[in-house]
Amino acid sequence: MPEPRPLQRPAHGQAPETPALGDPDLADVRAAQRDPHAFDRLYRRYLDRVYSYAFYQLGDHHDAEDATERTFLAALAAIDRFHDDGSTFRAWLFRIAHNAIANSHRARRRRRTQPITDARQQAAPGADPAGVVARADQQREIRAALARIPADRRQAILLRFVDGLSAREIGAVLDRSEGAARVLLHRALRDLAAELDRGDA
Amino acid sequence: MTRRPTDAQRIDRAVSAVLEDRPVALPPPLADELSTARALRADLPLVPPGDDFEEALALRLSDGHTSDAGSWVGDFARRHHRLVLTGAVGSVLVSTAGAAVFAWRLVHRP
Repeated sequence: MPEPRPLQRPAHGQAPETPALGDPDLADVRAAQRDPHAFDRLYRRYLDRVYSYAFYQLGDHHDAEDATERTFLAALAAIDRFHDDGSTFRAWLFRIAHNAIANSHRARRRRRTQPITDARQQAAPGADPAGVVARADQQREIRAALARIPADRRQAILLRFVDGLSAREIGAVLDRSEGAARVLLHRALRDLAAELDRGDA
Repeated sequence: MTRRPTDAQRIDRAVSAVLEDRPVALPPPLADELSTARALRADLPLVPPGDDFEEALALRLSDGHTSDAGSWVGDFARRHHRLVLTGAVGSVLVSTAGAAVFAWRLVHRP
């Protein structure tokens, strides 16, 4: 897997369009740099988000587990090299995840396997069955539409909506400027709206 | 003079509002994107991994298994370690048995 690069400045050397926000994970990162066992807090905080990012792109729980495992093992191995000069820990972590998922895509092309597209969702106890089915249909429709848009636009959507990253952080993950990340997100939403319309039609 | 925000900036701000459950509206050219953002907010949930996976990986992290090459390296190493151990024990047993047979035949030579 490629060496995770420290995120030291915005992509393309441009000045950031929005001022740097404090990194909410910084205290835990510093603790993990002193004592690797403290990494557990960061792991528990981001496990679901990293796993979801992998699952929505790979469409297969086994591959998502593999990419998630590689991401956290690589992040722990490289935690000493994380510096908070320009971006956040979560942008750094998702960049590692991005590389791990790209490797999984390459491995899958070699294996030529078909992804399974069911999400591991459980209905709340006592939920209305008709509502659960309708919700599952909507989720399936969105996942199918996401699968039809270009990969970089899909990644921008997932990073923004599932993982809660800002445009600046998305730019850091995808190696683009903050403005380019915003444009990417706008185009992704436009494409997705068209795909969902097509599905309805 | 303040610059008028681009469509991408307006969409980004609207998405932030949607993600924070704040009310937001955009005029028709951008209304479709906003409605898609609302659909994504509602129907693109986090997908948590299984509990067994979560705890197994937590254990590996706490043990300090941080090989960048991924789990198969560790699995291979563990399997390989078992193979070497089995081979060594087997080899000692065969050698001992061979030596015993040789000694027995020396003693019982006709």
